[in-house]
Amino acid sequence: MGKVTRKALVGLIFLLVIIVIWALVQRSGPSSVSTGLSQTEVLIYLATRDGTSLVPVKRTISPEQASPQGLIEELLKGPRPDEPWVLPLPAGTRMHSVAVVDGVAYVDFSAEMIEFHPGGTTGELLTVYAVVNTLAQLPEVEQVQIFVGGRELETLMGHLDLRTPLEPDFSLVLEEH
Amino acid sequence: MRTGRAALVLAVILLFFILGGLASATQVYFNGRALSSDVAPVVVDGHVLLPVRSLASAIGLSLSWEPGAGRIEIQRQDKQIVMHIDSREAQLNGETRPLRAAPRLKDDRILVPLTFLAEALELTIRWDVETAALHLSDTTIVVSEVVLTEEEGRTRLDVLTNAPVAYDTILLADPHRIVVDVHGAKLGLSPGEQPAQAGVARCLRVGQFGPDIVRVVVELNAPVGYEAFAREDEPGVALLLNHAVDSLSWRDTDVGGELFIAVPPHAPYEIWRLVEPDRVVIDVFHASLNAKDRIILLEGELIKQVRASQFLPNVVRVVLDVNGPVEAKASRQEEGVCIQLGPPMPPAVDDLEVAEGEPAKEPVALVKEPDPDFPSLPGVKEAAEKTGKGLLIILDPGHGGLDPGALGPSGSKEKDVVLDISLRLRDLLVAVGCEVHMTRDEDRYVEFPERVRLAKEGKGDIFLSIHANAFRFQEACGTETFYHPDKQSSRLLAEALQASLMEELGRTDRGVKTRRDLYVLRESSIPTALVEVAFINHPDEERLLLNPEFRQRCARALFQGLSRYFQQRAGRSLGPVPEIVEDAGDTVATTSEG
Ligand SMILES: [Zn+2]
Repeated sequence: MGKVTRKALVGLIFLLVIIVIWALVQRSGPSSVSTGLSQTEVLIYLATRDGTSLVPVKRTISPEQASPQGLIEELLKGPRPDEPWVLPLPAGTRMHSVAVVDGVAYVDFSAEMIEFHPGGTTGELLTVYAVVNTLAQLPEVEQVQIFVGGRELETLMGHLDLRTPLEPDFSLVLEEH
Repeated sequence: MRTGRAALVLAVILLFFILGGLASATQVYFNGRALSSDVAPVVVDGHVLLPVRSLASAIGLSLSWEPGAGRIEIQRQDKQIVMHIDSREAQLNGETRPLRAAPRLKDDRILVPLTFLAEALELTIRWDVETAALHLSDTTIVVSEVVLTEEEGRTRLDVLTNAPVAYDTILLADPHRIVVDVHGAKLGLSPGEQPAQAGVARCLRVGQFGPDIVRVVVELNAPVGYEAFAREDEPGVALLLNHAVDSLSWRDTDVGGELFIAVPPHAPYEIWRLVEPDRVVIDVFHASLNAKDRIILLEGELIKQVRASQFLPNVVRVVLDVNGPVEAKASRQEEGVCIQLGPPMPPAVDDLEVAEGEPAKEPVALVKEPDPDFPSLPGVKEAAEKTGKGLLIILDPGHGGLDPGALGPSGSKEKDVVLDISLRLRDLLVAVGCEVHMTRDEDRYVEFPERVRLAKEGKGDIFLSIHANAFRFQEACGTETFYHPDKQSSRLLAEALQASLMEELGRTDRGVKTRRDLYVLRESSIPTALVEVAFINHPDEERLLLNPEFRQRCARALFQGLSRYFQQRAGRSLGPVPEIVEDAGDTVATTSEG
């Protein structure tokens, strides 16, 4: 009788230990188990609220997502609620497509990119380089050209020359934050 | 409670007076939107009165006025107010109410007491002492629904709200679309895009544009004009779009020929005739000309040519230049209107109405007439010293025409503000003998290559692009100046301009920045800078930019910056800022230290 009870107790403790370990693993989230191959760290470029700079912000995504498309999707999600940064792209902007040819990423956005854009040199610069800098972290992307509604642009809001692809600009980036 | 509030209002008004008689310069806002200066409140015997006639269209009330009886009737939604000049009694929906101040007639303006008007119409009053502004507002405006329908074949857009609203509309190109901004409003439906199959409309997008503007975008198959108006029965805005006249085609027939005008069914039309020389005229109403080829040269026996033009904003006129009296008959077909011409008829027999008249006017733009709504520019006294002689300055006011640039929260447009600053700067420069070339001196769209044409050829001493800035969030404010890093003299220019702007305007210094990617900086081969004087989407800076005195200060600052640059570069300054003489009313003489 006592032997059976002890056996049951040991089994119960073993089970409890397993449950606790499982719970701990669950709580610690994916970053602690990402030491292997399953996760990768990328940067998206958001902006400060006063529009003075771009800010590189870390995101952890799956390696398959670390593509031009995945990066823009991650950028369009914008800041997390606890982050002080803002998305310098107009509300409601969607990405239609992105393709990389000979080191140039051609990315096409929906009409909101222009129609809901507040304008201004500052507004235009931060919008454009949030996209360019985010894409240019990929080794296959050296330059980026922005399209809207499938059309090539002379400019987005009347200041920047967008007729040719742009290289990333780190002079707009806030270094320490 | 009420007396207390009135006393406070009075105290504020008195304060305005003490501070320099600003009451007449008070800017009135309705639902967050700045109204024109002719609705500014008037203080009579310590009571604040509003000129109700100018206010009527701005806040959506109907007014009837019987001068004989001195009777004023105001109607807004379910509220009806009856007042009489010099009577301290009013009727609100039939009930008698006492007035603290009687309505008055002054300089042909009907003045009614502000507090009673606001109380009766359930408007909130807020005075902003710092900016001498009066804010009137309805309860929070919510855009609850946006619908596209067809009304007698015309596409109709309805933006439904819970209270009357102030709105702006713009027709834009590439792709063709109409933008409707509802001011002081929040979006009460989910933002996004919906396909629309209503006549000329292709799809519809709705979103919150800035904290207080709801933006509705209708994408079009063709650039058509429209009429915008407050909705008839319920609050909101409605737009009725024109039919598009897509093409004109001609084919010869046995008796003469046939002209086919491609236009949707329902478009009303009229055919008539002009003589000396003989012409057959077809007017298509509620229509916008979208045809690429507007002239068909025929040089035939019966007819010389067909030409089409946008005769009035909503009327397309097609004229057939015929060689003499000829039979002409119009009939509606499924996809347009067909005009059968021929055979020639003997003179003096007319089965069409004969009218004497002017030939069709030149084509007019589809776009509504711009109304920048700025007061006339101040005059400039002749400067004694022509210190700027021999200098050519190219001024480039940003945007214009179809491109409004950045928008302020109350609906102001960058293109209007920067044009006004540039014209003021031009006057100052001309007064000291500079030659000034403006890339635009009116509200029109100028392509980039045209803007930089002279500067690219190396003509001119300075190229100065003038803009107002914006960012998605209203924390952004201040002044900044851009130049191309490869050009040393441009750096000198940018630094001089920024320094003067900081001294004169005192806004946040965002600094002097180098850019290789700004179009005008890249293309110009003379010393070039682009200034962003202030953020038009920042509420305080918008209010400043809407103030003519601030815009004059911007022009003075830029003048001083240019003067500083020439001093450093060539050892010659432009001298003191020329004296300004306001042409109307209050004379503000401003002399500068240089
Ligand atoms: Zn601009």
